[in-house]
Amino acid sequence: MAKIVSIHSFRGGTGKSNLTANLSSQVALAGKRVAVVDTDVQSPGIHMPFGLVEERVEFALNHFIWGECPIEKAAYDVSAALKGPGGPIYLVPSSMKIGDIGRILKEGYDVRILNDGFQALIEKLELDYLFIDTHPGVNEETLLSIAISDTLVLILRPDQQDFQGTAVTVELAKKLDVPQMLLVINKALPSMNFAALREKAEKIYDVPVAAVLPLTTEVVQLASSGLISLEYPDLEVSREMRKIAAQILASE
Amino acid sequence: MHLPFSLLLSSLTWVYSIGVTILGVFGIHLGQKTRSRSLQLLRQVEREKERADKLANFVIPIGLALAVENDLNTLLEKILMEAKVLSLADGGTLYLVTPEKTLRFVMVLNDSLKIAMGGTSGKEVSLPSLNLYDSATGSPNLKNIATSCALGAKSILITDVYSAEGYDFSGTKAFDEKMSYRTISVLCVPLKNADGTVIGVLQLINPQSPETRTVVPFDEHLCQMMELLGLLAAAALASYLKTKKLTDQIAELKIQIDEAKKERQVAEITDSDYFKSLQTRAREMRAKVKGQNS
Repeated sequence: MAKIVSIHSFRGGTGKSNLTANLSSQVALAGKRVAVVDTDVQSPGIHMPFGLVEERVEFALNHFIWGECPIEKAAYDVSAALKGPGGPIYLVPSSMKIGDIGRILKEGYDVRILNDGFQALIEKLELDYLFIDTHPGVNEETLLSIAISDTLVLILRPDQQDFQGTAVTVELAKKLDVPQMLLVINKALPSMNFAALREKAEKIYDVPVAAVLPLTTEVVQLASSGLISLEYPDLEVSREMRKIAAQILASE
Repeated sequence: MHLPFSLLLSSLTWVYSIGVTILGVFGIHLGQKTRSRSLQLLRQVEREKERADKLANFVIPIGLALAVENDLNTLLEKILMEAKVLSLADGGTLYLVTPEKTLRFVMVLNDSLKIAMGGTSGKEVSLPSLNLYDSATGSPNLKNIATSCALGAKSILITDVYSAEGYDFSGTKAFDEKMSYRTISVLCVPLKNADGTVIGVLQLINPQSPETRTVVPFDEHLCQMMELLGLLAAAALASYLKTKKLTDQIAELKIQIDEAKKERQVAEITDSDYFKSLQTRAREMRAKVKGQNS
């Protein structure tokens, strides 16, 4: 049975889409059939690391939500991004067109459609893993993603607002009985004591910290243009991403 | 009565001879003194030149190297090792002054006994700290040479601990007996900040002649060199501690959760009909999956 992995953050700018792209790629490289759905309809971004250009996208998640296509038609094979054997890996992007974004925000949608779409995608593509790149914050769509997830990865920066917001999300996730929760502290300054930070976070949230990812020059330079764990596999951040992927795979 | 001319002449000759002799001796004496004084001056000039050379070629470069060291253990080790090399000392100890007003052993080296503790050696220095003040009376501990050096902020040189008076060297003598060693000469130098605060003490023992490998007295001019090194070492340590304090403030990130606010925000969501229905559906779904798996 397919595993659903949601990547969530309480605030934007935590590196969620980047992490989702890298983790899903690492899981695909382990030989799993993977799909990623970008449910951040307001600010889609995960298409960039996979190199999926706007011109190639005829149908997006938005069109499925509007009933204009079956979900598998909005799924694009991005296995070429793996640069090696593994996968396949598919991406269901949210539309990058301003008009489409405006329309979906204005009209809203029934989140139950999303759930139906996830199940259909799993079935049609015979997936082992479905990664959901959620919208930041807590709303009906993100709560649904959390509720249906087998693994919830909460990503935060080491700052007070993220700490506070993550505490709320952790509490909600516990009430929704998510089987596996992992924290990822991203963009940690190299001068920080990572071990102490990990220990404090685990104590306060009672959730394992899968990794503390350092803020590095390579991450900043590469930004969203590529998959850092594949482009620079020897970096500390890449090694840590592989460890997180291993923890997701280990929960099978 | 007139003296005979011959007698007068011989008397004059005799006086002249004595005079010449006296003058000659005085001249020789003066010459010797002048030569001796010249030699002294020459030696002094040589020493000053050697001192200037050591300053330029050793002490200042050591100071510069210490200033850029980022690792504390390496910094402490460099301070003691460079001091040993400069002074030809067989052994040395580096102490740091603690907030509790003690001298804490941070590094101990002895080449003859092959001892290396602290620094990057991986071995902790297990020796108890020295009290700067008597724990019972509060009076300054002037019996110990290292604590005296720290309290007086002045270098102390002992040429022979076994004949020295005024200090308690019982610890040193007990160590010597246990290790079959002989501590002879000790030099203690304070590590002073720019404002004169003593932050540590550098203690060196038994300088050795490189030719004969025997213990020789510490060169008194070396004391000035060591005091300068002490200033540079203190500056490097102070700079490191200041940088570390800033780094620690960044590193010491506190995670503070406003629990009341969290509970309020959670309740806003969990009290909604949507969440309650979602919770029920999630439980049903997980129970179904569990049933399928079993």
